[in-house]
Amino acid sequence: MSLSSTVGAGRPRPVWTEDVALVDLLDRLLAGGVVVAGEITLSIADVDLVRISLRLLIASVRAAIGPMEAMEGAEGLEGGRRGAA
Amino acid sequence: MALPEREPSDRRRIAVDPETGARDLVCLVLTVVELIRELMERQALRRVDEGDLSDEQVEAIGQTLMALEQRMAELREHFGLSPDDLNIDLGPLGHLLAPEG
Amino acid sequence: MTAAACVWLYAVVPAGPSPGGGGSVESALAAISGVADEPLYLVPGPGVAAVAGAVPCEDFDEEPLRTHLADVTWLERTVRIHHGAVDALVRAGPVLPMRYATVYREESSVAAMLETHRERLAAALERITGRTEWGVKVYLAHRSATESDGARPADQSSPGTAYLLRRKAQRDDRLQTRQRAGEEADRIHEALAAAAVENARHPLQTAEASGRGEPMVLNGAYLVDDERLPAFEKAVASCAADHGALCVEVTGPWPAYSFTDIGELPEGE
Repeated sequence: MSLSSTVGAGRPRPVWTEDVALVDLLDRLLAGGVVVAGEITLSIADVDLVRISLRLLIASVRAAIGPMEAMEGAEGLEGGRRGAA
Repeated sequence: MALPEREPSDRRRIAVDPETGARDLVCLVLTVVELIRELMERQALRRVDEGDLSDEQVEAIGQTLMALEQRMAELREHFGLSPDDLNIDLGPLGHLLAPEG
Repeated sequence: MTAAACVWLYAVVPAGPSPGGGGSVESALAAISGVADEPLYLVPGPGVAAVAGAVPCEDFDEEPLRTHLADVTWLERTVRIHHGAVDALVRAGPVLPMRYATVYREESSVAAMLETHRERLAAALERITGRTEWGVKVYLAHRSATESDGARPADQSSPGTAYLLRRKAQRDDRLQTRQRAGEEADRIHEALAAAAVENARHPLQTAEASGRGEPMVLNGAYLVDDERLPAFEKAVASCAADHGALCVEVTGPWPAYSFTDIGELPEGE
């Protein structure tokens, strides 16, 4: 559970969001957290590529709230999204 | 516009679906034209800033750009495209045309 | 069970009885499942313990993991599960989150890592104890409304020039708005940093990533003493009030993902 409070133009409106925004998660999980030399860890280059491809996905997902065509090539996304913790 | 197959190296918002292929080709062409128009306009403004153009040159360039903008609007309307439709997403390179505002 | 198992690390927590009362880390773990739907457990170490899950090497060894990470659906699912686990643990006491996708091939390596880095890990845990991360994202409130061509009367004698001057005014306006927004963002960041123990700036999210039309000008993270949260909230409200052209959005509470730097580690340690 997270608190998302939008404050602007003198109209504070605290909003409880069940869904933590994926981009905010990525900002933290891919670039934050303790880094130790695990035997298998992502290199920074891998992380950047993952970020970039995900940003594209996010764009298509948002556009796809309307048109279905943007969902092409993203099978299982619905399940993936709703399955989120 | 449909999203292409999930090839990491190729992420343009151009359909590979033949049904919408023609429309998207028009989109691509108009986007390129729009890009050129914007670049020309930026260049013109830069020259205006530098002050190395005569009044007549400024007027001529201004009229040309104005006419181009008009023509682009007509073409877009003709093909039923909004300005946003002409902004191809190049993935890591951002959008083709600079965002407004 | 002969399938080879790797170990996925979620976080490091203090060993021994948790401040929330004995066994609350354990009970939190009992209620969570991990990225491979596995149960979580503690790998004990000196003074600290690692929260771990046994995951199939078939999916989580280096090559298959790299492949999976290119699949955004898989990535999203596991990112959310990882975060869910870390977040659930916060209720039981201080939690030092591990970088997503820190995987070991043997549990003994995990224990060895805890032993080797026990001082740094303990120090990092101490640093975030009693503190929470909050995110503050700032956007331009709306697209530049000033279309500065209204006031100018149509100049019939030189319409081309008028057009260019109009475009120039619009462009200059845009640049100025952007620049001003950037400066305001810096001031906001400073004000919030002053109300926090530590601060960090994440890269700005693109319009698609943020899902907002307006450009983002600040993507900040702030480690705030829990006891000083009201002061931080007040600072946020002040910033929002002082900068009417900007939209301020708070996210949190977060586990302290952005404040876990334990210093440069030599290769192979």
